[in-house]
Amino acid sequence: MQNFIFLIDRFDGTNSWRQRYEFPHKPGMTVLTCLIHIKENLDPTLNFTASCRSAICGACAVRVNGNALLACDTMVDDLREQWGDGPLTVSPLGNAEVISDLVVKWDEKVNRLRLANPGLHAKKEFSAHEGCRQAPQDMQAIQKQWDCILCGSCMSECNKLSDSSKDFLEPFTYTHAARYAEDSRSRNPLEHMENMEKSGMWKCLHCMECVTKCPKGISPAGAIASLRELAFKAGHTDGPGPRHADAFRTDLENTGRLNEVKLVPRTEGMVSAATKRLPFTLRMFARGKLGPVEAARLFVADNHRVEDHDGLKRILKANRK
Amino acid sequence: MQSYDIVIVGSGGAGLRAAVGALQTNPDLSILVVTKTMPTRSATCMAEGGINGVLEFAGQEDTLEAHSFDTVKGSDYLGDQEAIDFFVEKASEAVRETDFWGTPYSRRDDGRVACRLMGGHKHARTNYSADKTGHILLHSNFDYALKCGVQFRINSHLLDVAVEDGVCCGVVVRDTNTGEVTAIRSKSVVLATGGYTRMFWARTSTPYIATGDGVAAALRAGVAFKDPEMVQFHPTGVANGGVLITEAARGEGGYLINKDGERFMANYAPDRMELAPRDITARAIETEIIEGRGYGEGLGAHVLLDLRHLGRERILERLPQIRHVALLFENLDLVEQPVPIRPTAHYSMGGIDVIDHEHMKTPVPGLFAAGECSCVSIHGANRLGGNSLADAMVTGKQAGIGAASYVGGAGLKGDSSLEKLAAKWRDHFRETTARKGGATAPELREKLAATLWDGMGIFRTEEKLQAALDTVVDLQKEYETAVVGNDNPVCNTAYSHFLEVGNIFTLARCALVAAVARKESRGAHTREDFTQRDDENFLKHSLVTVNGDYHLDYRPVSINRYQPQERKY
Repeated sequence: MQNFIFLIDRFDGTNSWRQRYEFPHKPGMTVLTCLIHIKENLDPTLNFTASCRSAICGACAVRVNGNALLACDTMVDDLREQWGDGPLTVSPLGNAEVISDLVVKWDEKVNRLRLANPGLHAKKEFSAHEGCRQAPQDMQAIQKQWDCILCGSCMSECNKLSDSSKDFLEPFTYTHAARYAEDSRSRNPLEHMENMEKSGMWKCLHCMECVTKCPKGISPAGAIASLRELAFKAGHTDGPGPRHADAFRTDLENTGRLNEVKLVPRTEGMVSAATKRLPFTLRMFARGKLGPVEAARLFVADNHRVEDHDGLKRILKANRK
Repeated sequence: MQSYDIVIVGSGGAGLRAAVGALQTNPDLSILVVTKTMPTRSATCMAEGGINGVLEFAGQEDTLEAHSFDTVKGSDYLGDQEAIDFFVEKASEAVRETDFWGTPYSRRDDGRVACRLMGGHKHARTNYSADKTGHILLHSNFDYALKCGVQFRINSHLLDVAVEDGVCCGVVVRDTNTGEVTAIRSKSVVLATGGYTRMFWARTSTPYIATGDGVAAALRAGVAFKDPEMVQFHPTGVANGGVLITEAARGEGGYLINKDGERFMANYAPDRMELAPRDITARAIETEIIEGRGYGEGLGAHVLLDLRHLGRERILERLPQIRHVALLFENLDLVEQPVPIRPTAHYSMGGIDVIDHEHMKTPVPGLFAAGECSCVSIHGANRLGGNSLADAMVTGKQAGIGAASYVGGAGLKGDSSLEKLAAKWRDHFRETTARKGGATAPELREKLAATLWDGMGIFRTEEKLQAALDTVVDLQKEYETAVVGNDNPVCNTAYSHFLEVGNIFTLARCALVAAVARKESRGAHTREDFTQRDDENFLKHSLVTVNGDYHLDYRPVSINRYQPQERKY
């Protein structure tokens, strides 16, 4: 087999560069054993973090060829099957401040995690002295979200977070909020949801990167969906987020097709749509993305129904139960 | 200079529980948790089995007394009985309390916390959350600490504990991010830095960070290292590195096979075969290797764990995690091939000398210790499964309460001692990182691990221990001139590791000093030249202090209820 070649994104606090390391192939090496090999045999200045080496502490997440993964849990031979025998590029997690090389800063992430109000506020019938009671299926309902090891893989690849971290949180934060909101022992699930509502819960782009990158198979996007559901159930239906979601639901119920002309006024309100979005609409006309006649028709009427719309309605009805 | 009421070092189960315990005692205290990694990277997360604690319910046959007795017996009578009585009572409380805070335990149909039977226990009292209780407990404690507003100083490495006029007055830490050495003034300090099993670097199931930094700092501050020779070995770690293959593999019917293809447990425990207790199985595997019936040589020597006869379906259904570990570390599929295994260093029973189990006080006023780095002793010469998470929760909480109760009468002082220590460490960085040519810390660490495995492993003799001690003294000298290889102050993880290796050298030497002198076999300390337990001469704790020289002293074990008897199962 050919030698391994790692191209590592380096940063020493001042300068950034990409450094090439070449070393003999050995079957069964993980990304982490390669990093350790480099540090202890080729270059002691290389920095990364690792602790348990068995995929449970979350310390060693890095990006390889732009995708977050746990270094200890990934065989380089498997990566070669995916990417070929050429060099692998190893970089620090995305959407995080880099301290040096592959080491990123967690302080701010931990503080933002506090917004989820983690920690159970148990129902009145329970006490610290006697503990709680919980049905096995109620524990199983939250079990997956408790697999989170705070490795930051979901954060690294989140497209919304790359756009702006001012109005969106690291996806694992929503997972944390949901695992307490959905716990049958919880006194008031809303206390875990309400901060999330103010901190980006409705702004997820549904790109599903967090779901595909989680090394533990958790769905932060699913956690966001369940928090949204909780908001609706609690009557928090006002605001662009809930209205946007409601517009999708109504369209599915009415025709099965999304009416994109009405989507913006229904989400943002008529005034905002007519003023803020007008230039955008005109550009769409100019580029031929939308015809004025078609737009007018959709505005007053609606789409044609999809074939077997009754079947869709039955699905929606079953889902609501 | 930054000042706090309490500084807690370490963010594993014990450290987090200490922080919460202190704030529950007095929410107005200023508390800082100093941690060399992001919290939640600690060994706590690797515990799988569960947390012991006897719960009350109709028809419960188990009692606190039974848990206490099993722990005393398991400790081979080196555990302090008064402390163990206190521990089992608080362990039961800890399970109910963490349940109330949100720890998602597995449940029985009636909604109670589920528990399982573990080795050495008469009753099922190990409460669990599937097979990742440690991870779940660690994260629920972390979440609760966030809820309580606990503040963290992440990526700060403990360098020293400062003591002035015999009283603890703070810590000196190195911010790994920037390289800055900072003195932090504090009325009290809780050390919760974890175990020291990384002295067996190449053969341990514990995380890379378990380098006993707190025990070493306490030694430098004049506090004794109690029972350092007591290290627990788990029988089945993967040959390559020592990550655990859980007991479930043998529970499901796995065979242990030597080079001749023989199920050798027939010669050691013919009735129970592979299901014999941990220590017997571990000794059997080592005997096979020593007598030439293993594969490979040196630290890589091993026997095989064969699961093939269980069939693909059962392996995939019941043991997927073990299959994954074998693939990751040995690059083989145990559906088709047996996996190389050997015992692995698993837990540190010894630790920082604690003289008051209720408040986890060390002999230095203001200095407290909790979790695996501390030694009351609850586990004596051998820890029972499920007692480690209970230890982290109970001793963590008690240390937090202890520190919070202490600070009322304490003042902030010790600036000159703190500054002096900080200056010493700034010089240390300059001096060590300027060195050119010499051994590296990783090289010395590997030599230390091999020396300890051969000399202070599962079978010990005067001759082997003494030879190991001589080698360690030589290696320590070599360490004095070893190179770091990186002089950049920013995020210099090579220097951090250099410090860690220095710590495990000190701790290994303490362990050897105590092990040579303990001329008996007790719990994890198996002497081939003294095969019996000797209560007349050694029913006492070893206490090693370092002041230029290594000095060994003893303290009697507290016995209030159970007179020592032969440990038979």
